[in-house]
Amino acid sequence: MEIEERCNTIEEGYEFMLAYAAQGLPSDEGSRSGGEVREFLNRMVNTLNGLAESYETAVWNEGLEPPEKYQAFLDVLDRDARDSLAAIELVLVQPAISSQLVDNLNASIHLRALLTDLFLVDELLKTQSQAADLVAIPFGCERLTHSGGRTA
Amino acid sequence: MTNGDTPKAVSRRTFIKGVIAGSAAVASANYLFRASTFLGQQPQQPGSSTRVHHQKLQAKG
Repeated sequence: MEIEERCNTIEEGYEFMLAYAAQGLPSDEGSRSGGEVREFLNRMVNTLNGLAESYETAVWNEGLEPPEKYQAFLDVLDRDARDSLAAIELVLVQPAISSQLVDNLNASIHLRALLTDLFLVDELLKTQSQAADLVAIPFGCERLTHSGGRTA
Repeated sequence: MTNGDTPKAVSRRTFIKGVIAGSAAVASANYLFRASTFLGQQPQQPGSSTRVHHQKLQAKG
């Protein structure tokens, strides 16, 4: 799974969870969004497994410097991904997933740390690519647009 | 796979950042409110006034 896809899946999942929390549902049973919530959470679990490794591969493939600084942050990303994974999997094993439960998951500092990690590293990768005057980057959620108007 | 450069993806990220930053602002406000209550408007504990008077009387005596 590519980094862009992973990043989008996590953002989409969080966006859905914000909407789900606002619906005041007592359970994930008996509603359309209730049926989707486990699907979104499972997708996030699949994405979080190996997330840091995917970014690590991209960083090494691009030869970004200095590597030790990137590695240090990728270690942070890895920890936050594992913490978020634990929180999501805990919710998934519950017999009922209420809006209140998801609201608390949304408030989890681990998920928020993960999201802000992704935003930061994505911006860094984008900036690095701009500095290298690349037309496009093969990773990252927000792709660059060429000055001539071509999209990546 | 979706292209993350679409306006929707960008606005989604902005929205999520707003959610995260917004709650942080509220948390900070609560912290400041508690601090001012504690330092500037410390509520009287039951019997605190009595204790102060008692201490003053003891000092005079």
